[in-house]
Amino acid sequence: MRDTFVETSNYRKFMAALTKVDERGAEEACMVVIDGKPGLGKTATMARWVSQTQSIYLRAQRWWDHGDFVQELLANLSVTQPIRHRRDRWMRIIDELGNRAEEAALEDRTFGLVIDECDLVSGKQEIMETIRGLSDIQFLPTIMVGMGKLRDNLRRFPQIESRAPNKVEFLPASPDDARALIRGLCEVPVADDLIQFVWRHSKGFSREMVEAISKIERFGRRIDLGPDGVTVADMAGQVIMSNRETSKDIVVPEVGK
Amino acid sequence: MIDTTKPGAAPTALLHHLHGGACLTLDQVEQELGITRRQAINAASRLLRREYLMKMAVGCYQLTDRGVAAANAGEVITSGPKGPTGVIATHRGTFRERAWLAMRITRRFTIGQIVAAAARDTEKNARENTRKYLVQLCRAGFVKELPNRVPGTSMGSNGFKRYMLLRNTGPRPPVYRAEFGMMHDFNTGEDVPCTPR
Repeated sequence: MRDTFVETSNYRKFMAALTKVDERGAEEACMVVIDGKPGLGKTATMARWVSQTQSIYLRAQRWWDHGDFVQELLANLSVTQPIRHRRDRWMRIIDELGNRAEEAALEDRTFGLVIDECDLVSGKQEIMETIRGLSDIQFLPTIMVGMGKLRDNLRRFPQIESRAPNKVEFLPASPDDARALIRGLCEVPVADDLIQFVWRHSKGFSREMVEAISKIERFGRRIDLGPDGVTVADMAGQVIMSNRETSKDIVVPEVGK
Repeated sequence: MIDTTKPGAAPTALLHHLHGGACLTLDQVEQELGITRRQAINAASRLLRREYLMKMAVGCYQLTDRGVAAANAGEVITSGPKGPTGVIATHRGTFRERAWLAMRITRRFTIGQIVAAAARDTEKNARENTRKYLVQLCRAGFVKELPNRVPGTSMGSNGFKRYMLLRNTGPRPPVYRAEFGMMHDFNTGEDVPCTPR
């Protein structure tokens, strides 16, 4: 499999939301909410974006209270010495984020704060208000990543919801996305009928598609390929991926069945 | 005549002038070397900082044993650093910085996953760089190689190694110090020894 990041429509939607944040009319509207089911590439997208922009990445925990959140943020800003007073900790965070944002602006690079698994803390008012405060004071692009509950929980905080007009739902891949992903990652050519099969049975989840790609590649390296690459007929009878609901193997059927 | 426009010319001249064991006052230094009072003071201060000179009485200077040894060795004093500064150079925006961030996010990973997240189009040796970095991180205990591999796709492939981040000490990437065989962790300020291969 190729060591490359394939830009799918979910990634493009995420980048479009960030562009909107850059061009926002109301300066305080700089929060982006990302949600979607597991296995749609949220973490892979965040890993790519955070490492390329050298932004701050926090993974929320259910047991966090406000102090834990601040402590974690300070640690991620390389502030390791304990700061005694709450106000001093706040000022230090503002300072550090400001310096990093300024440095990024000079290098013409986007910089933001990513809070992954944000739905675990999205019911905790003090943490959410702190995130809003940071985002407001620094006009810092703040990306909250979660699953289903995040949007619902944000409705409880209208002042936060109004700052997050950019909501991106990671959706299952379209047939075009599946084609781009399989052709981008697989080191052997793959025929359209097999791409369609993988897309249909993976239900558009990139995790399952990546599993299928490695199976196709392993198979494709061991046969004489036709002009279109590996086809459904070639792989008939082979296990190509697992069904995430039943954990059963999905086998490529004989052509015509 | 000393060319005092050259940094270090006056201290070098003073070092060699005092070589015979003479103990001179600043007035004598001024006269004998043909330099100004300020230049004489600066030259003496630089030798004092290097512990080449000692004060025998107020305003009277003589070489120390270190000074004599330096003069014997024909040392030329220049404006550069006196030796290693002990400061570990930091480089920002490197591939390894991005790779470390990707490791902190994914936690369990293969080399390919890290390269996909961290590499830019211009970086041609990203895979090899990641592999070497992971060897160093494993030897220092930041990362552990997992026993089970991701199956490979090529004929006869042993599969792809999987790794797990054990010590997520902070956002700054540990750097390898080849001369000491250690990883320096900027997050904790520690030097972590790498186990021999």
